[in-house]
Amino acid sequence: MYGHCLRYSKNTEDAQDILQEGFIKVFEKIHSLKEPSQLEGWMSRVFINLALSYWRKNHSGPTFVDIENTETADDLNVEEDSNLQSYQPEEVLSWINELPDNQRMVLNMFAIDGLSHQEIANFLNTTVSNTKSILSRARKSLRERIKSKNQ
Amino acid sequence: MEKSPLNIDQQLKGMFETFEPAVPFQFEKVAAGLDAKKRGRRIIMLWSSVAAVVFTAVSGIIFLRPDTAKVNEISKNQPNIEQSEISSSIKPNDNLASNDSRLVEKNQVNELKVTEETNSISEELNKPQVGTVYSLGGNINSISTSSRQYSLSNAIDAENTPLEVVENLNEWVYSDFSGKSIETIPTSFGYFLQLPVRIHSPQKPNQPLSSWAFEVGYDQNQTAMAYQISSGREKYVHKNYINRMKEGEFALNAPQIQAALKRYINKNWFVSLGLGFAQTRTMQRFNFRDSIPVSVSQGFEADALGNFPIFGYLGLGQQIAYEGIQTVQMLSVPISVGYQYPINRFWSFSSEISTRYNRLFASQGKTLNYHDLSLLETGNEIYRAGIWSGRLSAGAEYRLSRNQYLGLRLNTQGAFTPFYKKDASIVNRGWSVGMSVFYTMKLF
Repeated sequence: MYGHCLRYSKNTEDAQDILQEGFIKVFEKIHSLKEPSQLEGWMSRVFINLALSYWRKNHSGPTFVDIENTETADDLNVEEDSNLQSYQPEEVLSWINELPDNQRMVLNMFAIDGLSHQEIANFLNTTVSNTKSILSRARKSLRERIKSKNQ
Repeated sequence: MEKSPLNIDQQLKGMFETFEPAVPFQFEKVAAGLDAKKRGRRIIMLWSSVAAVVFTAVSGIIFLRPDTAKVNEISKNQPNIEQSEISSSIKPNDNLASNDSRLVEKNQVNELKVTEETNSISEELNKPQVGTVYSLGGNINSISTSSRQYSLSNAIDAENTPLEVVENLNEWVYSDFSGKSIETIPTSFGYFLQLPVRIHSPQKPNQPLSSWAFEVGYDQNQTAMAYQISSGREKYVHKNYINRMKEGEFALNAPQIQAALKRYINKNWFVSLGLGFAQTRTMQRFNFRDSIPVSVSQGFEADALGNFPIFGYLGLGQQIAYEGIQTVQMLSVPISVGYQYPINRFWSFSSEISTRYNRLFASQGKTLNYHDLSLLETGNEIYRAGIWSGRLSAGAEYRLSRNQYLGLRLNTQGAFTPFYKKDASIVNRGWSVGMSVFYTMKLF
């Protein structure tokens, strides 16, 4: 659970705050869990939702999307992709955390937590095309960072 | 190695699905503290409102109770009135009388002049025994109407007089000397008011001494604002405005104090006109980023706040982080119609319906601009100067003395006129529910 919190917050203090609040929520709402076997998945969802809310409350600074330069799925064909397996999760996490806020969030939500573009768009109060655009940029930025590390 | 962009997603998913860093220790303690803090905040909000109502009620009772104590004290200090000359020992300006605000009847008695003596009537009064006090009524009636003074010396043995006789005397006093044009009233009537008996007229509680009364009241209400988009103005309002306000605005209190002059039309109905001070307080707590509206001004008219229709949304705007209390203060002129119905000797059902004109004179705090969700200072620029509102209340009234009443009513209030200026795209009306404490003093 702490991993979820770390991914959605830029520093460990925020992550710890989310973790604390998350456990309070879990204790308060545990009666609503009908299938004990799904405890882990249910808890993950609680922590992710809380982390997203926390981010929404606390992140600052404008997020502008340049619609004219929006990349499409076709633009994402790259010659070489990076192999993340050779890196430690903490290291990759630090690269993700260096991404702009909106890119980090969308990458986390889509790539790791499996939310759909529609869900992400609803959460960010934006359009699906915008979230796709942000995701493309996030992937591109992450690849560039990995590339620069490799060189 | 796969070269699809999904690869990086899959790698990330695989890496972080099982990623569980070491949990910082002792966070449970902090969590417990955090939880307690949150609960504490909620409890404070609830109890502060309850405390305000209780405080008001207790203050009212404390303010009025000492008078009863005084009456008892006075009576203890003069236990053996039998041995004194009643008419001479109690003078019109006696401290015992002037200090006792409950004994308004006495003041009235003292203000009236004793003009002359009539020996024959005095003799008549001296004749009857305690057991025949009832017969005094007729005698004294005849005295009062003929504007003559009499002496009650030795007429009544206070110590031995049965309670019901004293009460009946009071009845007799009230029914014969309440607000009529009497020139001569015996000063010794003041004595009856000092007897160790709580003075209540056996008349029905709602029967006024005169048709006028003065009332002060205090309302402690919980308030909130209701928001609605003006008809045909949907395009002027940000798509998430209503939800943002629902999430970010919390009910607080709406204290209100007022004084009014009441006029009783008959024993049940009254009208009143007053002056009051009303305040509504709501808490705003916003922390979000939302999409930026795109509007076009050409060919369209701006609404009262200078906004044009929205045609789309672009990206995310600035972070809106604000926590504060919005306070709106108003001077109000309430006009009311009320109805009261006696349940028994002391209690009455009491209800009132009123409309009031509220003049806004101060406003502090911020709210969301309904067009772009930016923070907006509240004040005369966006609010109307005058607002009409209505109030409905019902409860019970307790009779403290012959002319004083203390009441408690449940009330609900709502604004007929929206706060925002005419032609604004949002119609926002305040409403509140709560308790009213009021004190009424019937005038002579």
